[in-house]
Amino acid sequence: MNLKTAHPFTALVFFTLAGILSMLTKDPIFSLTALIFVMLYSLLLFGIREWLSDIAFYLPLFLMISVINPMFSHNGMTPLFFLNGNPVTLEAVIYGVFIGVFVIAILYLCKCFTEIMTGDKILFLLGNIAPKIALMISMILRFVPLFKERYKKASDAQKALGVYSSESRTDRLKCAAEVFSAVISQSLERSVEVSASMRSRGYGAGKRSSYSLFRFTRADALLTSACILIFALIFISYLFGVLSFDFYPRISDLSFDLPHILTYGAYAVFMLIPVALEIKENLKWKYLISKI
Amino acid sequence: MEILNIKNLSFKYPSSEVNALDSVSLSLENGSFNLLCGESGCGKTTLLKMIKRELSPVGEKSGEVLFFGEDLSSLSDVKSACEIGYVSQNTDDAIVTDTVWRELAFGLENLGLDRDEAKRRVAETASFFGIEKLLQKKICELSGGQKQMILLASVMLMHPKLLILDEPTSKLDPIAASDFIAAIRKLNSELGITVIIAEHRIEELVSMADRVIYMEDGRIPFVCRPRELAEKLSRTEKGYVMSGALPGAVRLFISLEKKGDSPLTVNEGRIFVSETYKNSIRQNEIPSYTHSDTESIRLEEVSFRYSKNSEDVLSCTDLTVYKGERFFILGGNGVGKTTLLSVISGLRRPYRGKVFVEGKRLSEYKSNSLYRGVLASLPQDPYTLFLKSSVKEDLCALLSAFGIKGDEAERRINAVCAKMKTEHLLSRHPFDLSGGEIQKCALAKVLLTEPKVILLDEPTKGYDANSKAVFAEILRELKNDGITTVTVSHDIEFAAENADRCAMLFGGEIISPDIPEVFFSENYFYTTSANRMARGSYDGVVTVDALARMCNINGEKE
Repeated sequence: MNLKTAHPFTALVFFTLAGILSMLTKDPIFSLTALIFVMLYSLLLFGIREWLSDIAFYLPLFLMISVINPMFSHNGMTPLFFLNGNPVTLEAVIYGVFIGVFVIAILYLCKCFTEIMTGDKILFLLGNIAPKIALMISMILRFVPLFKERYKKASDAQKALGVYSSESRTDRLKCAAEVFSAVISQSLERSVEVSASMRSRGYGAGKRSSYSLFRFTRADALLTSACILIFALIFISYLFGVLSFDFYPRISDLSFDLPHILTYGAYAVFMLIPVALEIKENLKWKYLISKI
Repeated sequence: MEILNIKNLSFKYPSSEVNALDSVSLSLENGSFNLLCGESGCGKTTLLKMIKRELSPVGEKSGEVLFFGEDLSSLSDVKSACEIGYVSQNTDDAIVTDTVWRELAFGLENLGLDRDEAKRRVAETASFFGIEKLLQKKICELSGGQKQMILLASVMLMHPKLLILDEPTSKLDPIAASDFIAAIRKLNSELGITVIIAEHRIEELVSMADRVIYMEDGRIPFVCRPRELAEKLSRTEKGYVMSGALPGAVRLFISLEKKGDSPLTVNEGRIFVSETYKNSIRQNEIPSYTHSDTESIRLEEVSFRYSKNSEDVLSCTDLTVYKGERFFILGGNGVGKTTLLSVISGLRRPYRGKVFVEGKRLSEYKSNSLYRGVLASLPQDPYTLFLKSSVKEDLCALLSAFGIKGDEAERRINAVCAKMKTEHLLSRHPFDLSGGEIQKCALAKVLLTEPKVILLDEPTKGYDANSKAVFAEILRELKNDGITTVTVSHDIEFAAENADRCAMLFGGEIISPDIPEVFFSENYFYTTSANRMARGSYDGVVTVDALARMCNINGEKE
């Protein structure tokens, strides 16, 4: 099992906790750990090609964020040099780099989230809380492509009549608006048939249940509880102030005593979960294929 | 055992003065396969909707409908939803959700089934219909045939005892339609589901039905076995027109004015011809056809594809259509017939080759000049031509876009409508019109641009025999006015009877344009039922009328 094939709830738990943890503290080791593992994970998810092209996008973003902070923030004890009469401090520079790492890690996390949590899964999760809204969203998702198709047909038909396809831009806009409103009103009229079809298949005849293709397996239970357990450990040490870290006015010292090492280790294990699962899955297939 | 009993059912729509159903009585045996046929607007849909309580229209009703001896209105909601399944022709409007598995689960969720039970039903139903591979797909990725199959499966998941189908294949191409009908047959023969199906394309259905119910003006004049249909239909005038939709063998039987049990399939028809009639004269004279010398449309080595990396839809194809010709382009599903039309009409531009219309290259027509007085298209769905809330408004809007207003506009509209016989439809809302009516209005609209060439996309799809006959007459009139028509169609029987020349589109090329008599008799598979029935007896026969003539000329065997 990997996060992709896991139950949506498991994936949701992981991503929610990962999100909370990454925003919990300003500890640079934490952010760096997050960035490394999330980048590794996205390499496994998307393949080397997309990964490299992502870097080409994220690197300039990272540099920009890092540079902007010391230009506008003049806090800190250690001035490096003066720019237009304003001090550029070491603290601000390092904080800028930290923010860069932090933002990029979160962006990567979001990218992985959208890849794993497809619309289907989100709809399923929603279906458990608000079944009617989930059904409505599903109907809208059905309607949008249908509407596009109808619009395309109607506008092609009008074009071939040559009524509006003139060179003038306002004419074209007028045509588009007219076709659009006509297709909307047609669709509204046709929606009567949708409700008839719903009724004829028993909608409203009894209490609705919710069906899904997903199964919460033992592995899901294990994974979810592992995530929650590790999260709890880290959170406790956070409450004890292990993760307190400040950049201003002076950068706190990094300490590597036992509580720190344990907490960092726990976080690394947490972020390793999806990576390890992905690698395990790949190896398993290689192994299976070689056996065949 | 009786599954459904309709006793003296009459129904009147609130807006109408005549009864849509007029003391209809009908009883269906459990496990039977019933075919309901009749002209468009004879009350088939109304009757079917009266059997499905959730869909019953509002109006004045008398009489009763008994389902297993129980009045329809006293059934519980769940029983009524489950045990009577309904599949309509408007697939797109009947599908509720966005993905296939969710659509299948929709009905089960409504029944409140638990997950295991629902899963089992989805699994077994999907494998019965062979749609396992589609389960994860989005509805918008499916073809029309697949969508209709999903809809049928989602109704069958509820385990109905009676299955009602209202023209389920009218929007499908012939191959998808055959698959769908085969699935229905399997449901009937293997599961004993009682089927009542209304359909215009009844060639395949007639041979598998147990009984045929014939409707006319809201009444049921007779119910008979399929083999008796030929004799019974030929007795009434409307029935005779209706018989145009029957299988070739039955039409031949009617044309020869035979009595008794008719042959139903092509093979039975072929045996009937070879055993009953002599064949001393094998070939009738092929009618000569001369086209005019002026070219109306010419394609020179035209190639088209949708994107750089896709395959060619049209590859290096040539085509010449002459002035005043009724040209038919036939071909299977997805071979690019509609694309070809859009290339001719300039909606899509080929990446190689030249297109000439009325002697001028398409690129020489500036802005709208191609669409004003030269070329017009009738799309597959004629409703898409109308945007306003009445037909007349729409026609006026078109003319005012051309700068014609007032009395002159009135005069032109009247002239066109008189020609298309649509005067009585002018004040109606386009979406309230039937398929045949909207098509006439659409043609009227197209004719207002005074085109010399009209391109028609599948104009006979889903139409009954009567509408087809009317449409054939319109094509003839257009020809008399010197208008060139290019029709793409699946309907080979219609093409055989109404084309001046036809051709096949295959592999991106237009193949062997010729007159129908030659085109079809040289084909082995892709030909009319009359041609296949005549095989071995007569040569060069492509229509039922021609076959009947040959039979009469030769005379019966001793």
